[in-house]
Amino acid sequence: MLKVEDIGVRYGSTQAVRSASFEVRAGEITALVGSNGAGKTTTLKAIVGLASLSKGTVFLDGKALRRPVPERLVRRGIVLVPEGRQIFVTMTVEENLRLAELAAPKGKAQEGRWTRDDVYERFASLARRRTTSAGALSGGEQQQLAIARALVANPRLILLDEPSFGLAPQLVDQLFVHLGELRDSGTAILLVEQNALRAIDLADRAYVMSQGTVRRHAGGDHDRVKEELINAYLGPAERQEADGV
Amino acid sequence: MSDYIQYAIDAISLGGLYALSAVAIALIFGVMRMVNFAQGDFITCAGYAILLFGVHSTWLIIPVALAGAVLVALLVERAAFRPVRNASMPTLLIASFAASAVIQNLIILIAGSTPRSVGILESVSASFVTIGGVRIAVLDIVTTVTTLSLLGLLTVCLYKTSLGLQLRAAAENFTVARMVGVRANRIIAAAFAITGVLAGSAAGLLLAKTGGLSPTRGLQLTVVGFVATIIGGMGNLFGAAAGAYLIAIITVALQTALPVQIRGYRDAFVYGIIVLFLVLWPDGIFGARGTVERV
Repeated sequence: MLKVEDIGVRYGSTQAVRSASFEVRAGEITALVGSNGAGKTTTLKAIVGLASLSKGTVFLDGKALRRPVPERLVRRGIVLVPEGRQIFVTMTVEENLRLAELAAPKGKAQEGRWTRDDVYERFASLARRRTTSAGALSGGEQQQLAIARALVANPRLILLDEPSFGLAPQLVDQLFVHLGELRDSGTAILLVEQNALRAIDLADRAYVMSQGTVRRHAGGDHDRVKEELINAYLGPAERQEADGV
Repeated sequence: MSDYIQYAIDAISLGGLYALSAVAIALIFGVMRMVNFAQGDFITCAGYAILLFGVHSTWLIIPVALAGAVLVALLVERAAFRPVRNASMPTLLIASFAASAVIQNLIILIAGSTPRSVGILESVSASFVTIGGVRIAVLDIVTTVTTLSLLGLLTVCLYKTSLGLQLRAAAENFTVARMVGVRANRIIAAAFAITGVLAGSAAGLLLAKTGGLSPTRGLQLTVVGFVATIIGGMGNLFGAAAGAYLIAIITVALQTALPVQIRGYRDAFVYGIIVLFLVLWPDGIFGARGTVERV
């Protein structure tokens, strides 16, 4: 569905992404993990056009995306849920959802399409706080709203940036359950997480990003990904030392 | 007593005119983080549109003024502001000054710099009604009803329509608004079209009141509108309107309270009071919005 081929992003003299290549398949959760500053968020921004590529190509359904624009990608079913929730705090829960619904691809009702009612059914606490200002929600509810907002846009692929950040452990558990259910309902997810091991366990496919580079594709082999992840965090030399102890 | 009622009516009528400009400036600041110093020039352009096409028929005045101002606002947005949309705040500010200067000089080029007299709605401007012993100019009533209706319509648009929902989202966080599918070009063009409607209405009311038109006619309304948005809190539409009415109240109060010898310096006193006000409430009455750097 989405294929990223050797992309690079440069902010002035800083090379935020050196070379990233990976693939997101329909109906799968793909995890992109790595330490802080590895370039994960920038990679997501580059996919939707909020950061410009210095090299490489992003392919959607086999076609190269030339000059991507976030609002157009939403209409093609690709939605980014940014880091830190970023819901509209001056609006009510209902207004946040109505806004996102405006961009849902038009046309005849699609199978498994998310309506506001579906979302309220799934996230009961949002249903109870429909008319509450989104700024007054708890952190967990705000994250639910951010995901719910993406869902009513009826996406084929959600790009999720650090969804568990700042959430209490039991809320993280709940979040990961929701993500699994979402995948089962047919929505593909590209999950960027610092909570790396949990993300890998949930994912069908995982990639490790380190120093602006997505090095290798380990596919569904989670043990290999975890090993690569440890190498990325500690560096191979330190790892050998650690193993020696 | 009737004098005070008269002053109040003057202040409400003047405040309405100021509010049309202030709300327009606040709206554009909300979605673009840019103070649009060309807003007054949109008003001037609408005035010249009336002069060129509208003076012969009363029924043409409103459509001509609105169409003229909306067209100029959309053109300026497309030609001057869209190319620098993602630039820093100082760059946007300079772009808006430049747009203002270009419009004024184009008007001089086309229509000349001589002030013109434009008599529209003269029967309305000259008539009065007496209510409870107070003589009220019909034009003041028209101005007040028009401005309050426009502000009411804008509120309904912002809170009850999809366009308004998108405008509010864009004003709160433009980047995230785009992430949820708000089309950047369309929403900014829509905001400019709205400011065009406000400018066209202001032009009609201004010409009916004063009958005079020059290439810099709208400048004073830009300045007052800008100051009103600062008093109300940048980007806050309700605050901008309140700020506009406050300036009008201060202006009318000083106009009547100041001794005749120093009345000519009225505006110096008005802005002096505003400076004092801002020393006490630097964020404006209702607090500034969106002065934080955009994501």
